[in-house]
Amino acid sequence: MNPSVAASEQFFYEQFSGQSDFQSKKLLIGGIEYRLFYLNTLIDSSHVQEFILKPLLSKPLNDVREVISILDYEETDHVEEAVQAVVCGKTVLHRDGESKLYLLGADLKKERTINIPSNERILRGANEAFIENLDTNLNLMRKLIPSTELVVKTYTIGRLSKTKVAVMYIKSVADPSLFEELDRRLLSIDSDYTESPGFIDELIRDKKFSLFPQLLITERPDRARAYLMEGKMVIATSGSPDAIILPVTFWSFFQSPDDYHISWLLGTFFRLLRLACFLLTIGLPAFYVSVSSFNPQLLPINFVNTLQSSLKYVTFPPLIETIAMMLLLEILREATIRLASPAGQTIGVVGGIVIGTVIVQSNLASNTMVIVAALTGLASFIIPSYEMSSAVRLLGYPAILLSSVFGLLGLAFFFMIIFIYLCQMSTMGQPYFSPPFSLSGIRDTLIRSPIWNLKKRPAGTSPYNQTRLRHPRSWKR
Amino acid sequence: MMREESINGRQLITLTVMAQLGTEVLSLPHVGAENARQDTWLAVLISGVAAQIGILLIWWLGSRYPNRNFYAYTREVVGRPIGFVLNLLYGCYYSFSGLLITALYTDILKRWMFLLTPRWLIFLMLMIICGYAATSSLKRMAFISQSFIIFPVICFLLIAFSGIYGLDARNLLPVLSHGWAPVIKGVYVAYSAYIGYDLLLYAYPYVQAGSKKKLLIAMSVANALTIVFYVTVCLVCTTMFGQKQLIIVPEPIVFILKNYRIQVLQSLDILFLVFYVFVVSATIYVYFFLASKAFVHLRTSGLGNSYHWVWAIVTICFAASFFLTKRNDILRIAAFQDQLSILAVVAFPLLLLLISGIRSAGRHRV
Repeated sequence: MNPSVAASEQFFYEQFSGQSDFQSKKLLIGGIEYRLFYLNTLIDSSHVQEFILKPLLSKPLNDVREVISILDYEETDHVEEAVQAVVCGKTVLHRDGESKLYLLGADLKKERTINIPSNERILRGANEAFIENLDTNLNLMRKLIPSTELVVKTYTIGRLSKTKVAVMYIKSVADPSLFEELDRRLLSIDSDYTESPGFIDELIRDKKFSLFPQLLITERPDRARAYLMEGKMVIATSGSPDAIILPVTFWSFFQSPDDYHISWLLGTFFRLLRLACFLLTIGLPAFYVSVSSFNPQLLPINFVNTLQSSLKYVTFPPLIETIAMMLLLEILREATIRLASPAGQTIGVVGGIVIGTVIVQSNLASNTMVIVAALTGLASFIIPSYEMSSAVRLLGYPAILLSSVFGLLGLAFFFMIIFIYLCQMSTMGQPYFSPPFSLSGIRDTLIRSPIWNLKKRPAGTSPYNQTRLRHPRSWKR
Repeated sequence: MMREESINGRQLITLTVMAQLGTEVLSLPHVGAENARQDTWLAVLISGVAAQIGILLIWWLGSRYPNRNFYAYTREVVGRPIGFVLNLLYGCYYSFSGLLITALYTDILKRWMFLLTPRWLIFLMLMIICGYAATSSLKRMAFISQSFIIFPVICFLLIAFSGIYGLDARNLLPVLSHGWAPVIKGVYVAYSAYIGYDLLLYAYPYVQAGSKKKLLIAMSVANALTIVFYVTVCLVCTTMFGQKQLIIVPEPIVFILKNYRIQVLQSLDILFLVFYVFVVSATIYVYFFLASKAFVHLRTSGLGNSYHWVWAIVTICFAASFFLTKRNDILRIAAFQDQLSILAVVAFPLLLLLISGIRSAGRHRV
C-alpha cells in the first residue's frame, strides 16, 4: 500500500463518500503527520482520547505498538481490510511514511443488562437469560462451563450483515460427525443477512415442510448447558437472545429445567401431564366433534343428554362450531401477545369471560364447546416449547376435519398419521421420535428418572463418552 | 439400494406380534366354532405351536443366508428365472393379503359403525395411511409398531376383563367330543391367524439380537404373546356364548363388549373397534412393505424404489377394492387366501430349505 497518509485518506473518502458520520482526523504530533479514520457513531470518543491520543502525544517518536495501550490491536497493510474494520467500529490509525495501518478497537459498547427469562418461566433454577450481545452470551456459557472442553467456533454469516454465529459443543462428549454435519450446513448458508433463530432454523433443518419444530430454542443458559452435557450443540447468534439447541428429539420439547429441581416423582408426573396435554390438544376438539355428531353412544346416556340439550339451540353443526371456537382462541392468543402488556389483561377479561359467556347465551356455541376450547388452549400452553405448543394447536384442525368425516375412527386415523410421520422424521441423521421401549429409553423421556439413575448420556448424540455420573450416592456404603 | 438399518430383538417382537394380530381376533371364535366347536381354544393353541414350527423353519432357512434377505437369496437357491417368478409371486401374495385384510376390516367397520359412509372412503383412508407407513424403512416401521403397541394391550385387557361376568366354563365341555378330526380342521383354519411371522423371511439379516439363538427366542416370545392373545379371545367367547350362538355371530367379541358399560364409557365396542384399527393397519403396512420389497428385488440391482412400488400397490389395491364389496365374496376369497398363505409361508420356504440343503450337500461331496 501507499505509505503516504494523503493517499489512504483519498481511498477512505472514496469508500465513505456521502457518509456523514465518517471522520478523518488530521494530527500533527512531533512533526509526524497522522490520520485517524473512524465512524463517530460507532466509537467511544473518551476511549479514543484516553488510550490513543494521549499516549501518542506523550511519546510521539516511539513505535506505535509500544505507545498504545489497547488490547484489541491489529496491523494490516490492506486498505480494504481497514475499511471493513472501520465499519465494524474500529479506529484506524495511519502514521505518515509507514506502509501499514493500525486497527484499534475503541468501539462503543451498547447492550442491555442480563434479565430474567421472560418466555421460559420456571419456579426453581437459575434466572439468567441470554441477551442480544453474542460476547455476553458466550461469557455466560464459558462461566457455566469453565473448561477447555467447551469449544466455541464462530462463523460469519450474511454478506452484508456479517452476523457472528457461534457454535458450542463439548469436545469430549459430542459426536464429532454431528459437528461436521452442522459445520457443512452452516457454511452452505449464503445470504445477505441472517436472523436467528428463524433463518438458521429453516436453512439447516432436515425436513423442509415439517410442522414439528426440529430445533429447540431457548433463552436460558442453564438449559443450554444441560443439553451441551448430553452431547448436543448450541448455536448462539449475535443480535438474538435465543440460542438454538440441536439435534433434539421429540421428547426434549416436553422437558423443562424445573423437572430436575423437584422430586423425581413430581417431575415424572408433570412430564406425563405435558405429554397427555399434547394428545389432548390434538384430540379434544376432534373428540368433541365426533362424540356430538357421530358416536354419541360412546358416552354415558346422562352425559349425552346434557350435551344434546346444550347443543339443542345451537344453529351451526359441531364442525363449524368447533373450528370457529378454536380460531377464536387463536385470535385471543395472538391479540394478547401483540397488545401492550397493561392492556393484555383487559383482553383476557374481554375475550375469556365476556365473549365466552355471551357466545353461549346467544346460542352461537354450546357451553360444552366453550369448555372444550378453554381446555384445549390451556393444555397447549402447558407444553414448555412455544414452537411445539403452536404446532400442536395447528394439528387440531385436520383432526377436527377427519373426525367430522369418520368420527372417532377419524381421530384414530389422524393419530396414526401423526405417529407415522414422527417415526419417519430425523434430525441430523438421528431419529426424531423413537418410542420409549426400553428402560434406558424412558429414563429421561417419558419419565424423569432420579438423578442418580441418569448415569448415562443419550447414546444418539454422544456415542463415545456416555458416562456422566460416577458412583452416585456412594457415601451410603 | 438395499440399505436397511438394523433392528433389535425387542423391535422384532413388536413388529411380529403386530403383524400376526389381525382381523382374526374378531372372527376366529366364530370360524373356530364352525369347525372345532367348543375345542376352538385347543385348536388355536395347537395352531400356535404349529406356527412355532413354521418360525423354526424360516429361522433355519434364514440362518443359512445370514447376510441377505429372502428375496435376495431366492435367486441363488433356485436359479435366476425361478427366483424372479418366486419374488413376483411373493409380491403379489403380500399385496393381495394386504388388500384382503383391508377389505375384511372395512367390512367389519361398515357393518358396526359406518352404515352410511361409503365403503370406498374408509378403504381409501386405510390404504393411504398404511401405504404411508409402508414407505418407511424396516427400523422406522418398527418404531411405528412400537408406538401402536399400547393398543393391542388395551384391546387385550378389554377382552380379558369383559370375561369377568357371565362366564360359563361348562361351555368348554366336553373336551374332544367328536375326536381329533374337527380340532385338526380348526388348526388349519386358525393357522392363518398366525401368519405374519413370515416377516422374518425379509427381516432376518437386519436383526441384531446378539446371536442366532436370541433371534429365535425373540420370535418365539412374539409367537407366544400372540398365542396368549388368541387363546384368551377364544376362551372368553366360547365360555360366554353357546355353540349355536357362536355359529351365527360373526364377531362375538364385539357383541360381548357391546354388553358392557362402565361409568365413563357406555359402549366399549366402539372404542374397541376404533383401537383395533391400529392393530389391523400394523398388519397391512407390514404386508405392503414386504410386497414392495419383493418387487424391488425382482432385479439383482434393484427395480425402481420401494416408495414407488408401495404407492403403485396401494393404487391397484384401491381399484381392486371396488370388486370386493360383498361379504360372501370377501369370505370366499379369504378362504382361498388361507391356502395361498400356507403355500407362501410354509411350503415355499420348506422347499427352498430342502433345495439349498441338497445343493450344499452336493457341493460338500464334490
